[in-house]
Amino acid sequence: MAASEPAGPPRKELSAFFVVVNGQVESGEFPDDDLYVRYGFSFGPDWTVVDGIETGLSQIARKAPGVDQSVVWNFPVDISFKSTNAHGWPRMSISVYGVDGLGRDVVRGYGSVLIPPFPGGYDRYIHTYVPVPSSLWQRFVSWFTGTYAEFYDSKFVAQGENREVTRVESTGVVKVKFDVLTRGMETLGYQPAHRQVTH
Amino acid sequence: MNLNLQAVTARESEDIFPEVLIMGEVCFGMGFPSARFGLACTWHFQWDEPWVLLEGLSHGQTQIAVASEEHTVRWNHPLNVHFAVRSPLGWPKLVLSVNELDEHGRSHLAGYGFCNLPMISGSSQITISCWRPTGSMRDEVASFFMGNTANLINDDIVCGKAAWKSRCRLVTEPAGKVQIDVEIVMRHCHAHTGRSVWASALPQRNRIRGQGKPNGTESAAYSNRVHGQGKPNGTESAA
Repeated sequence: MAASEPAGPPRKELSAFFVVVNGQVESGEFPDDDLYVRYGFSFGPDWTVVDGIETGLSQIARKAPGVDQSVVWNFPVDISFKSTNAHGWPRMSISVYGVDGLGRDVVRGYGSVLIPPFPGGYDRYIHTYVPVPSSLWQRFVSWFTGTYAEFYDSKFVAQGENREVTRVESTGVVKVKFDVLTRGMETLGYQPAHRQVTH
Repeated sequence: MNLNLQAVTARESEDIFPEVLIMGEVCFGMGFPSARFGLACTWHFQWDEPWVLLEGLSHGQTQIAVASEEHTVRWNHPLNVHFAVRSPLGWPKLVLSVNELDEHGRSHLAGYGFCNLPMISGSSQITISCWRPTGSMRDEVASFFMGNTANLINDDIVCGKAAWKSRCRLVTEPAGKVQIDVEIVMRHCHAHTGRSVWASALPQRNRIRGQGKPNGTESAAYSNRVHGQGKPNGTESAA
């Protein structure tokens, strides 16, 4: 987690490449109030974190009085990765929690996003969702008691397996900004982004 | 997958072979008529013989998402595959089918669709317009009341060889749209190593290695290009 190997100046015969990700979890739009956000990263076995902090837990953000429905977190993301293989490129998983009237933490949304694999500045909007119970009775019980279903592992949403067993409904949106820098990828034969294409 | 990796590295160990990584996300579906009770998308990559899957999931199914007020279902399903490429022929496609749940929890087909994946490195947003086959008048009346829509027995007709042969027998109607974000990352696909891999990878007798002698096994691979149906060879997936 901590800096095991400093991302120093480029050495001769770089066998690994580095990805530097700076950014922020900027804001969110949810029907609920008093929200905080937790983020983490999932990446393949060839990847290591060389610098920065792997998980983040933001302050509790409140809506401003008025019509504006957004909460502002402005929470920093600052992490650098090292890898020999582009497969398993890191994904950020995010979970939004709220504080209910009894002071309990209730999950308000999960979502994940791929760290952009090419250098540049990006705005990413993560549309979040929460698992819902499949039966009406369970739904009533969870509404009545105020305890909602959660994912056991918040990084579950960054993986592709076993997703079919969950049933979700969408809740809100989180805006995340990324500034990405890659180093040493072209030396390893990776091709830079050709151009932005839209179909 | 490990076996594939070993096979490729053993054969090509003295040379660099191109690699293509496809990462991204099945983002959301929209415009599907009955998304109130949940929609799920089943997807797989389909490629031809010159491509070898090294790592990653080549098929999967998204979560069941209930539509929000703007008729959008959020799937947020990651895509991550890593291919070794011996030729640009057989470039992978993403094939998907969307299933809807009704109020009784039964699953029905909502639509089919496929898209070609970009052949240059970079980011793309792709919208796949989906369709579903319509049956006879009687089937349509039944599907109106009972909800069970006609579906295909074999989805090879979506973009496999059967599309050219049998699509002409189908009558379809539009279903909805699926949004895909993909990032294509290429390695050793460029002429920067001193030779254009793609140029030599075109279907001639001797590709990649350049000035080798005609290689019987490799040209045989071209004469019968089998579909890697998004699944490892020989394993019938228990869908």
